[in-house]
Amino acid sequence: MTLKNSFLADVYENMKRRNWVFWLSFLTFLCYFPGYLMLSLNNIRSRYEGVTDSASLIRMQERMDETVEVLFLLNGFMPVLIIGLAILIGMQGFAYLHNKRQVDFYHSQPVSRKRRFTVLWLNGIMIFVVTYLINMVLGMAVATVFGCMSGVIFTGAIKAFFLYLLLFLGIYHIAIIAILLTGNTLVSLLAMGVLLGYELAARAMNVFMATSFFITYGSGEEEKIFDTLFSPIVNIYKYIILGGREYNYSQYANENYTYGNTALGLFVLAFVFGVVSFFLYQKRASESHGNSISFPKIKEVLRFMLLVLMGSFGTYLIYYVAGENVAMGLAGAVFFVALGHAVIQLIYEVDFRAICKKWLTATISLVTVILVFLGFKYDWTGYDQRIPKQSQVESVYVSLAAEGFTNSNYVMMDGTEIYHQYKARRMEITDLDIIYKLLENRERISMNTRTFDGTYETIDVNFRLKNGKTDYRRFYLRYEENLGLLDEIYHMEEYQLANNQVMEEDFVENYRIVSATYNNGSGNGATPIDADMQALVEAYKKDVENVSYTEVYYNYPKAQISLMGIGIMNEEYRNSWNILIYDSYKNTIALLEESGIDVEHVFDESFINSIQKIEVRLDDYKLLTPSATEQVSYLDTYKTAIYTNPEVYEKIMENAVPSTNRWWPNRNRSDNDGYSIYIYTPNPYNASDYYMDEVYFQTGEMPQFIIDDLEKIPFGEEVIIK
Amino acid sequence: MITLTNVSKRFDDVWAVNNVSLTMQEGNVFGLIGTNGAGKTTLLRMVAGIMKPDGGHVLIDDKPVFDNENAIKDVYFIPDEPFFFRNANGKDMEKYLKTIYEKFDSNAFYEYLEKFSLDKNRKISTFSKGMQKQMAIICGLCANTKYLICDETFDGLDPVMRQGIKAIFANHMEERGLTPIIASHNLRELEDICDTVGLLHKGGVILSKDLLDMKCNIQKIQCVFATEEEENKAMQKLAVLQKEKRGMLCTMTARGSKEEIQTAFTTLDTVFYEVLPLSLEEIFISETEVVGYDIKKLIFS
Repeated sequence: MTLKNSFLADVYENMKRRNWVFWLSFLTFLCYFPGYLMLSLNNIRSRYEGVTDSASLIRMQERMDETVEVLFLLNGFMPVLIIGLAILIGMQGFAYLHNKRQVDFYHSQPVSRKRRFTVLWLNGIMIFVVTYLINMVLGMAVATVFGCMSGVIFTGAIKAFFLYLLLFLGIYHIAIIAILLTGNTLVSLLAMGVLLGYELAARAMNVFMATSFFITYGSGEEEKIFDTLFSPIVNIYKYIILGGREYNYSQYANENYTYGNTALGLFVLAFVFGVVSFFLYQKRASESHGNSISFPKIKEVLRFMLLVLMGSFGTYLIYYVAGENVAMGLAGAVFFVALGHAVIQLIYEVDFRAICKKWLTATISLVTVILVFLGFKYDWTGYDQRIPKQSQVESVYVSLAAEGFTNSNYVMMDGTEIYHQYKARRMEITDLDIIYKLLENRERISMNTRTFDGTYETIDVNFRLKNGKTDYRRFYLRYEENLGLLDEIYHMEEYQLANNQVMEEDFVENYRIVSATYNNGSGNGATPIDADMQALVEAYKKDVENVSYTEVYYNYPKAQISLMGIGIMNEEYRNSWNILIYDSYKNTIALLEESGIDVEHVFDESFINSIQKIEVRLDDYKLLTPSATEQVSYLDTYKTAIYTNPEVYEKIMENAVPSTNRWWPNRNRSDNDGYSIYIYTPNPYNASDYYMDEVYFQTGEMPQFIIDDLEKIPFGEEVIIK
Repeated sequence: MITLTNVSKRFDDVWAVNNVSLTMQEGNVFGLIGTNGAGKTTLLRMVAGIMKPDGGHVLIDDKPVFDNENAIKDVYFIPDEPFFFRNANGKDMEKYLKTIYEKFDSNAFYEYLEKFSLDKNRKISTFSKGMQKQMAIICGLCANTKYLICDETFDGLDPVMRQGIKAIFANHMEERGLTPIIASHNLRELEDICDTVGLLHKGGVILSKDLLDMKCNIQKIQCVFATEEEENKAMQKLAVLQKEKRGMLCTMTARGSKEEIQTAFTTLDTVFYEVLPLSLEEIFISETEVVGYDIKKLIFS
């Protein structure tokens, strides 16, 4: 076939020169789609060979369907494959620019740069598209043979293909840009690393510094590392990890990472990088082959950017390794900037003697690194003392101490999220006056002046600004002095609804609550609650409306109720909500008691009667740090009272809190006044052995006779009290 | 016609071509000679549209050449190290080039391959350096472009092949008005074939003239003056570029036509004098010596 001097002839002839890449791409997708699928499905089928019961056959079909679904729809491996291919195809197409003979050959031909770029660019895309689609169809044929193909898979596969195509284009254009900016392949690879990773690395560096030096830097801010503007890789992985469920079940949408948003983001990046690569191709001088950088004007800019990042990393590293020593950190800055400069010079000039030249940019970079480091270290921008102006804030999310993890997954109508994510996304407090009044009382401390005297507690605040940005902060507050304001926040409807999903209207109906269990942490396990779920939840809601934050703050919960719901999307998926019951929850407690649950007694009589001994230990670790002349043994730092009289057990256990309750939210959970209380019960399987449980007392509730008994015992001694 | 007006090209801090103005007439063979590093290849790469000048203009038939298909379609560039596709044979090159050059003559291509005993099915990478140059020249000639730029193309060819190719060039010039532009160090080769010669040194043009004019305007004189006074008179009357004296025999290179030199000598008292034509190589040495490129410095310093 001869295509005389036409665009198609150029395309055809160029494709002849790219055969090996075509076949490599073809083989890759051949192995991925029909190859892997055939082996996997065959493997599953052979494992169920001879099985005839319908349940197993259904399971086999499910496994095969799952395999097909994972392969054709989005998964974490395919982007890796595509990134590799995009880099290879991009480099192979444009690497001729690094070879003088090829440049002379091609650029002396009567073919405009626009046309040559278009031919090379188009062929690269065709290689990807053709080899992907052929093998995807072959894979679908295999899936059909195994009876796993469906319209949903087909549509999903097409949707996945378009997303992958956009990812390919983004990375492909970055690879072309790397080739165009440089003059040899090795430097191109380095440039690609810089183009793909610089922004992420710079963001990570910023977060490391802020986390280390700003005491009010909120943990949510760390996620901003991934708020990249220029990374197709982050875009696709965010979607796969955070929004991927939407792909399989359209109802499970995460509104930030939908298919449409991701596709749009990838398209914009692919387009921008495409335009840049086209522009650079027009402007790149043919004689740039062999040079490290093709555009001399960007050399120093690049050097500055790399040195600032590398120097900041070095400063931070040495500062920490040297025990947060500022002088050593600055020495690290000098060393790493000099090292970076030497490496860059070596790459630029390919001459060892050149490493001692061109210090101006390196010096400017060093000064920048030092200023940035000191700026963070001494908070020159006043970050820790500043909060967003109230007028700039749309709404806030707050997370108070003693309100936290309850092992719950909170189900949303469109997806499942863990407690914190749910709260962070749903809580939109707009009554900012109270929040700002509370924040006025925050402790004005900085990383350099911090002292943890145990009187501060944290309050996490996420400011949602009117300009669409967010600012996550962690402030320090003396809660006991601010309980009035905290109570007000706690009673806000926005707070309660986001803090506790059970407070939603029609909760039982919406989440198909079918059962509930009661657990007081005593080790008796969960007891089923024989009550109407609607009545139970209504009683609980009424109690929550009446409870104050002050009570939650000061008290241990009495028990935990787990509400079980049937999954919204499919029957197999179950979700549970754990709600905590406090002393003042009169309505709930009454309902529980009506159902035959003894709420008042945490430890039942049979347990108390089985106690063999109770050991109370008082630790005083301060004794461990005497002067050198007064060496104290570890054994001398505590004293122990052992109770063996069953009559006193009931008195001791009356107010004791089970050890498992310790993990339930309560500010006092780690505060046992320095006492450790161990309960020994016989091991039914071994008469000579004991079970040992630990119990706790809320602050101030330790029985006085124990305190009196321990008073009489000197440190280092153990006394049996009968 | 190819016109270069104040063309400059810089690599980092070095001006490879500095303010060069030249004209390459259609139907003539233009020879580009120059010292090492004079900028010949850079100049040719600009003429071929590969590189963009940093200053000045390169026009082919009044059309700017850089990234201009309309201008470049009339030019074929044969670099000093020609490129062929990996694993390609003659047939592959023919198929490719005819999609690029509208007037590519496939019949002539295969005829030439046969004449030059180059196997069209053999991988070009297995050819010798000389054979690869032959292949490049055949590709260039068969592209049927108006201008054929050859950078050191004749180096590496055996004398018979050189003569053969010169003859083919002559045929193409006669039949279709080919204008070859040839850069070479081999001045003896250029002397036979070129009509016009451009002499480059340190990025600038020392001279660019019709070779015949050039030869007519510079003469070598061997003479024996009667007295030293006569010798001094001769130095004042003639534009002497070079002078060497061995015993009484004085050898000079001077500007001027043979007649002008002879007229000057009729007024001088000499024992003997003879005016001889200069070879291109001798002209090159004389002209470059004037601008400081002195071979004696290389040998005796």
